[in-house]
Amino acid sequence: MQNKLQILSAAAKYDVSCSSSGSTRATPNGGMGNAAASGICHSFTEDGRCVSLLKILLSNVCLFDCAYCVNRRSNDIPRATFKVSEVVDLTMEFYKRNLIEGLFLSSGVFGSVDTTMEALVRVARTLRLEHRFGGYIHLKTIPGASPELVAQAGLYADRLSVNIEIPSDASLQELAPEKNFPSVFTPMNSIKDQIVNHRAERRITTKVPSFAPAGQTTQLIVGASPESDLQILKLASGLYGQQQLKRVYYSGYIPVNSDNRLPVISRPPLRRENRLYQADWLMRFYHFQYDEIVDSQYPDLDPDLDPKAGWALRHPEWFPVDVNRADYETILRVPGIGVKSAKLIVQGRRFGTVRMEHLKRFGVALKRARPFLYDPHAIGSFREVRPDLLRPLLSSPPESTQLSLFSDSPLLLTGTYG
Amino acid sequence: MVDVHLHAGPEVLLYDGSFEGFLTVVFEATRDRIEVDRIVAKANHEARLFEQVRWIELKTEFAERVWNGLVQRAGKDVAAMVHGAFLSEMPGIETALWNHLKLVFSGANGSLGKNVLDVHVHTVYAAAQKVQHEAHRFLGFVRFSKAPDGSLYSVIAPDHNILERLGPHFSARFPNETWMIADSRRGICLRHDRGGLQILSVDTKLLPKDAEEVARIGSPQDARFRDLWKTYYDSVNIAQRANPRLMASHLPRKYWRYLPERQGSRQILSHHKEEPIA
Repeated sequence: MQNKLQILSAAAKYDVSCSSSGSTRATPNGGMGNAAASGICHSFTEDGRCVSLLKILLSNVCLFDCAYCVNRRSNDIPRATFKVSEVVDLTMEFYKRNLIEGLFLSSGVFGSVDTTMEALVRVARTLRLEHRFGGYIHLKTIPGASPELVAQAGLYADRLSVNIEIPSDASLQELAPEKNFPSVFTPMNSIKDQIVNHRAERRITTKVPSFAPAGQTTQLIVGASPESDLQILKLASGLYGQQQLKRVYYSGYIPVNSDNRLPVISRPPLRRENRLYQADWLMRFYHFQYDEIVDSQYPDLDPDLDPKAGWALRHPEWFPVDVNRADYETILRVPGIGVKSAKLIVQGRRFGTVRMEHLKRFGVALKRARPFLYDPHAIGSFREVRPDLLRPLLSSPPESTQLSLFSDSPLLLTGTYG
Repeated sequence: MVDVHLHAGPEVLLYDGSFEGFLTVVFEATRDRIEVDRIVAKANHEARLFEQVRWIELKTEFAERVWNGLVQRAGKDVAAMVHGAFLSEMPGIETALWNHLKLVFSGANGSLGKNVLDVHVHTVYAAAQKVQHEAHRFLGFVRFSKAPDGSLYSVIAPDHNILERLGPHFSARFPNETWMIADSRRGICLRHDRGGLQILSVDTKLLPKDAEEVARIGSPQDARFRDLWKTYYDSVNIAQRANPRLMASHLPRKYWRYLPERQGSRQILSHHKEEPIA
C-alpha cells in the first residue's frame, strides 16, 4: 500500500490544482464530512504548495503517449493501479484524521476511455452512497469519455476538470497525438451546459440534484510549447467567459521526459508562471481585461515587473490617483494596493480624510503605491507620473537571485484562496 | 491648615480574564464614569508605582446587557469583530477595545465603530483579522489521532485563543464522532460527542508535548495511516520547485510541533536556523 500510494501520488503531483473551495455541502445524515466554501489547506509541501485534497491517480497505466507526461505509454516506469475500495478507505481514514478536505481523483487511461471514466465515477459513488461521505470530491474527466458517464460524475463530484494542458490546438496535436482541442472542449462545454441547466432547475425546485456545484477548472502547461502570454491569457479569458470556468491553473513546464519535440530547459519557468497567475488575478479580482495586460505590441509579460505595475507604467494618464476621491475600481488599479486595502480606504474615507499614515496601517505597499498617489498634504507630491523614473523602483531583481524568494508575492500556487 | 485633596486620576481596572468579565468592566466603567487608564486581566497585571487599581467582579447580567447593546447598536459583524479581537489576547487589546466601544456607544448610531481611520478601531479590526486567520488555518492544521476506543484526539498550540472558534466547524463535519481538541498553551480542551460540545479545563502538564506523544495515544491501525500520510506528503512534493521559505510562510515553524509530517529530519531540511520551539 505504501508503495502504491507513493507511485500514484507522485504521478498525480504535476496537476497543480488543489483547491477545495466553491462548494457548501452539509454533512449527510448519519455520515461524515462537508465542504467549506472558502477551501482549507491542511499542509504545505517543501515546494510551498498547499495540500488540500488527497490527489492521486487511480492508475498510472496509460494508453496515451503525450510527450510532456511522465505516465506516457512509452516510458519505462513502475506502474500501479488502486482498487476502488483502497481509494475509498484511504479517503475516509485521511479525512477522519483531518488530513484532507477530500479526494482529487484522476487516472491514466487504462482499458478504454470509458472503462477509466466508469472506475472514477464508481469511487465517487461508493464514497457518497455507501459511506455517506460529504467531503469534497474533484474528478478528472477523461477527454473523449461518454456524455452519460460525465453526467453521472457531476452528480457525485463537487468539481470536474478537463485539462487542456497545451495552450494551442496545433501544439497539442503535435505533443499529444491522441488529443486535440475538440476532444477537450466537447466535454468542457457539455459540463458547462449541465451546470447551467441544473442551476436553473434548482431555482424552481431543490428536488433536482446539484451538478458539480464547485464548477469546473482546467490546467495549461506553460513553456512546453511556443505560445505567447497573449495567446495564453486570451485563451484563459475565453475560458472564464464562455466555458464559465472557476479557475485556470498554469503549470510551469517541468521536463520529465527527454523528447525532441520539447524544449530543453535548465529549470522550470517559475517566474513566468508566477506572472501569469498575477495576470489571472488581475482578470478575476481587479476587473482587468486580458488585452489591457498584454497586447500585440507587448505579447509577453515582463518577467521583472508585476503585470499591474507594467500596466500602470504604460498608462501614466491614469495617475496620480487621489484615494479620497477616486472610485473603488480606480483605487484597485494602483500598484501596491490590494483588494483588502482598497476596501478599507473606501470604508474609512466616509469618516474623514485618508492620509498616508492610514494607508500604511491598511497594509498598502507604500514604496510601490506612493508615486502613483496624489497627496495634497504632502509637499512635493507628484502631479504627474514619470514611467522612466519609476521603472527601476518597481522592478524585481533578476530571477537567479530571486528563485527562492517568491514569498513576497500574494499570488502563489496555493489555489485554495480562489 | 491646608486641605489636602488627592486627585483621583485614571484607574487600572482588573478583571478575571474572561470575555464576560471584560464586558462587565465596560458596563461598570461606563455606569460609574470611571476614568480608565487601562484594563488588564488580573493574571497579566504588573503593578506600577502610584497607580490606582480597582478589581471588577464578573456579573453575567451586566455582560449580557453590554453584548446585547453592542449587537443592537453596531450589528452582528462589529460584535463578532469585538469578540474576535478579545480572543487575540494581544497585550493592550482590552484598552483598545474600551476605546473602540466608547466610539460605538457615542454618536447617533453605532457606525463610528467602523471608522478604520481611528487607531483604536483599526487595532481592534487588525486583531480580529489575525484571530480569524489563525482560526481558519487551524481548520486545516488540526491532526486527529484515533484512540483504541475510536475517539479522535488532537493537541494544538495556537498564538491566539481560537479553540472555541473551531467548535462549530468540527461539530458539523464530524457530528457522530467523539473528538477532542486540546490547547496545550492555555490548558483548555474542546470536547464533542453526540451530547454536544463543551469546553473543559485540563492540566497543561498532562498534555502531549509534540506529535510523537500524541501518536502514543493512537492505536496500531492509527500508526499505519500516519505513515501513509507521511509517504503521501513527501511524494507530492516537486523537488524541482523546492521553496522552503514559501512553505514556511504558509506553514510557520511555530505550528510544526504537532504536525506528524513535519517531524524529525524534516525540521532541518529548510535552510533556517533552528529556533527553540516555544
